[in-house]
Amino acid sequence: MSKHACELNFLSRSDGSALYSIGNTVALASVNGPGEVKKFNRLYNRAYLEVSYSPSTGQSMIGERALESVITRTVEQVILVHLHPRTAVNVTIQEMQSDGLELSTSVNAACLSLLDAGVQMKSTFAAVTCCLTPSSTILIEPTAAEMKESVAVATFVLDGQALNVLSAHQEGCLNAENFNACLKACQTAAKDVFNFYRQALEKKYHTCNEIS
Amino acid sequence: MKEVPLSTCEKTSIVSAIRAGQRYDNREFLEVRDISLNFGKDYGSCTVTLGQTRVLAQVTGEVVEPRPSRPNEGKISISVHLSPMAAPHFESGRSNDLVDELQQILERNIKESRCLDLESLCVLAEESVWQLRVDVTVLNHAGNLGDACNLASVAALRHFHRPDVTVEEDGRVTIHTLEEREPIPTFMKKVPVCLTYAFFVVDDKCYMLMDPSEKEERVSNYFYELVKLWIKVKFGFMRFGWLLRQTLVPPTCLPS
Repeated sequence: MSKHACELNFLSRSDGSALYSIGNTVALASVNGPGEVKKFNRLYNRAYLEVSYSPSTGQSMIGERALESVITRTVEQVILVHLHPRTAVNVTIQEMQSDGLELSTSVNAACLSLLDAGVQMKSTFAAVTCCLTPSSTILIEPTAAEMKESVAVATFVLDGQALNVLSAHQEGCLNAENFNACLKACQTAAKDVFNFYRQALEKKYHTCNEIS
Repeated sequence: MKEVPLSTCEKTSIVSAIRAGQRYDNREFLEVRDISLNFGKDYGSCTVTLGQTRVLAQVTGEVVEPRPSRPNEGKISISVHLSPMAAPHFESGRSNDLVDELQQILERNIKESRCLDLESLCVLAEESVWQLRVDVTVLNHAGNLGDACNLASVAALRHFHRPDVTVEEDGRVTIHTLEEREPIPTFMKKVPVCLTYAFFVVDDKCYMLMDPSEKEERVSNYFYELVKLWIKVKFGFMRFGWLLRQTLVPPTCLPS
């Protein structure tokens, strides 16, 4: 598994932010909210969720919209939107450096930035990407080169309590048996990711305690 | 989300602190905040931190046809992006006065100054040239975006290495990967440096502050405009562009 690193509260103007990296892929997520919402988007019984993903170069195109939709679907299930009616929660993700793992880095960065902002959630969530090589081995968090050689790439976003699947994204061909094997491998790897979240937040609150 | 308005007591306290010779973050009037540059794994990626202001610049290049009016010159295009990440009241995609202003500053500093030798970007005259694209994204707006964006784009351009190219006899152009051949660095003849000052006129006295923070910027706009100064390091002359109506205290801080 590649090395995970993160820095919380990276941006002073955002309510919560996290700079997250898995291996050589780095993403920066920032959360603002729950806050004021335009009349057009106002919902009477819940918060309006807006997720935007910007690539490091060029315009946002269809690939970025696809990533946004996976992240929106995940975040919608997890944030307690009904506690904040007629407000908006804005999640902005900026790709800083990419080595193939954009989706999982962005999702993890989004989770940590929501925790940093203190937005109420049902559970934490973590994304793990794995790929199936032609020789039927499963590689967790492969590099871009390894992904190119693989038969299929699958990303699962799992929740922090029971490791249930919140969303999944897959490219390539996976039969049922391989799909389940990938899922199991990702669920085992996700436990390490959740431990990493815990360490990152302990570090943040430990520093706060030291100052006070 | 709407911009949080600056309260009257914040405005008056900033101005009275300046009258007493102090700034809110304990800096001297002509002191710049700490600057740090972080370069990414890919050539041409740079993140600048100026105090709390953070800006990311990414340079990429591709081979295209040149402009018919200038067949030997490469092209540079600069674009600035502002999203709700920079400050909650920005909306991505909406054109904004601030984006236009930053774009104008960068185009003037980099394109119009001719600091980059565009002829060196030519591969085959009238057929292929390199087009460099600079994408500047503001990550956090804590004042003085002009300087930070300029610093980030210049650093990213100097960090950028373009892939080596061979032109065959029959005119075919082969672009080598970074592993096959050493990439070529970009050559900058001059380095544009941008310094921003905010002016406060209080009781007929004019105070000049360097590198204004976000609140200082908002208060000074209320009173008056910013001066942008641009120095060509090699040639040693300075160019002023200002819009101040009153007589100006001669700037003594400028480096010679």
